[in-house]
Amino acid sequence: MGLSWDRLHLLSLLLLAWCLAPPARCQGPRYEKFLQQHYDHPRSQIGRDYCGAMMQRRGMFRPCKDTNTFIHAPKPQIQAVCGAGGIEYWGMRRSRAQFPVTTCTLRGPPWGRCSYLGHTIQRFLVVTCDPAGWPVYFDESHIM
Amino acid sequence: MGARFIPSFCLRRLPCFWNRKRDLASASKMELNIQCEELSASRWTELISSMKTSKTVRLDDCSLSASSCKDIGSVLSTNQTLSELTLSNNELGDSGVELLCKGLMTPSCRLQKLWLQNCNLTDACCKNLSSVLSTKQSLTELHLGDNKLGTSGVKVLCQGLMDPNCKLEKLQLEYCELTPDNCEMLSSALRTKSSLKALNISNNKLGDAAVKLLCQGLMDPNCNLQSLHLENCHITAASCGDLGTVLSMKPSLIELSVGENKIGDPGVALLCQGLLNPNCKIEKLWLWECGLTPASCKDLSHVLSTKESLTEVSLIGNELRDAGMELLCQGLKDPKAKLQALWIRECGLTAACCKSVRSVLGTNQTLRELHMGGNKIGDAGVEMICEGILNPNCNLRSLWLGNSELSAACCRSLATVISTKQCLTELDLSNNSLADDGMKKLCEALKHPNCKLQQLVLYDIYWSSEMDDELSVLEESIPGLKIIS
Repeated sequence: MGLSWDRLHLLSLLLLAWCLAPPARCQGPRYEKFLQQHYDHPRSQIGRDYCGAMMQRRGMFRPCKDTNTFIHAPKPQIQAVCGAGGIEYWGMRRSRAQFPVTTCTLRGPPWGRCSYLGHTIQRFLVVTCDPAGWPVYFDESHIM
Repeated sequence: MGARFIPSFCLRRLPCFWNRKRDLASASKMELNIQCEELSASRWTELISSMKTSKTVRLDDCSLSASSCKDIGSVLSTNQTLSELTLSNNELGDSGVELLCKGLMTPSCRLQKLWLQNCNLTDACCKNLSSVLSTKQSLTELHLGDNKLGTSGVKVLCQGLMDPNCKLEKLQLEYCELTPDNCEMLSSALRTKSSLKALNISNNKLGDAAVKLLCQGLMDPNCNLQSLHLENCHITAASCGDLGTVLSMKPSLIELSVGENKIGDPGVALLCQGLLNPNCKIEKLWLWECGLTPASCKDLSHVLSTKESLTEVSLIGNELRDAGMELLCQGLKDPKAKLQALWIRECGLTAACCKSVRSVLGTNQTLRELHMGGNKIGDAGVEMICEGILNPNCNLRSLWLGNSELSAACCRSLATVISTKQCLTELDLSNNSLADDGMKKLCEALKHPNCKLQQLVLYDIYWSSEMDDELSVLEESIPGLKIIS
């Protein structure tokens, strides 16, 4: 590679600066999808069936996704788990602090307007981050 | 319901953006189908004019309010072809429904099906709805779930239901805060309304005494009910004797759900007695989260091997374990077993029972759908299942293996199934650590000409961005295939 370390450093700073400016263009579609499936802050007010309504609104109902967690915290805090706000965990990142979330679990058959059980709790987040430091995957199996 | 939060980049519109291959069937001029969209004033005007000629209108979760109801009410009073109207998940309120009912009551209105779930309704609107029920002979379906109608509201509703003019076939009152006091009138309705085919009163605190009262109505010779849903109604084994009697006397009852009631093994034993009666022609039986153990499986197995009418069974969320599953498999291997769909998600199964499942798949030709997710069957278990599927006798169309502790190691077997079994059209592998290695094998199989998969569900699986791109390209290049993640 022809670029010096200084130049690379400068380039990555510029890239980072551009990435921090909204809209979230370079975080990419995977981060947008992560937000679509897992970000809800402040928590939407939609009546009794939070999970049923949210899973419909966020397009996870054809077919109905078995388990899904919505995080009720600001985006920067979630993104920080990929950095200082998280620790290495089985090849993924685990948040240092607990976050307020609602975890929706499908019960009964997955047809029609699916029926979910929702638990609003505090738990650690376990995510996988892309090389640029954005969360692109949420691990639903590590509930702590 | 409070104020909606609209994020800066309108997340709520993303579902439409994300569903790249939308269902185009509803784009016809006769069907208006909108879900989860904020409607601007100009868009609303456009929609009102298309509603005037639509046969079906669905405006689900579109931030409609009482004022929208005035416009919809006038559509109802002029559009004679409008037969289905869905306005669920909009804060219409009692005043909104009052306006709708004005439209519904006009003689020219021929509406057949009406959905008003989660519309912030209370007992106050029940008088208007009751008038509609007692006037509109065309109305065959009414869905009012998730509205706090309460005891008094439902009583008023039932008055309309009892009117000889009322020809209602389906009534849905889930999460409506019904109480045991409502069951006397509902029982009368069952006795008199021979048109009533389906009743769903799930998620209301009814209890055994109330359900016994309902059963009396169900037994009436006039009662032709086909479908009964009593999920999470606080029923115990104590009601199951009466329910069993209904099953043994009413061949019309072909669908019964008592999911999420702790009826336990004693309850199921009583139900099975009724089910085994030759009069019983049950087709769909939902016993999910009923607190069943392996002990229930002997009776259930007997039902599976005897009841040729039985096509769908759900046992989700019962600790049946491998021992229980093995008993069920014995029943499923019987030539009289005609089951088409089996849900055994989260039943505490492991690889140990998969040998029996393989055996079933190799003999049973009617099974089309198998939902086994949420069981720790692992790679070893899936490999056995794949062997069973490859048997020429097996006609499986839909296989669900989400959250089954699978890894890349089982993908070779899965790939063989995908590229061989042409009847398989739906496969779910969500929430399994298949990794890029495993995904690569699946991708190769998808390209195979014998692969007839239409839906591949891959929620909650991490793969690299290169794999992400490869999957996108693959999906675009195979016309019938949808990859959902």
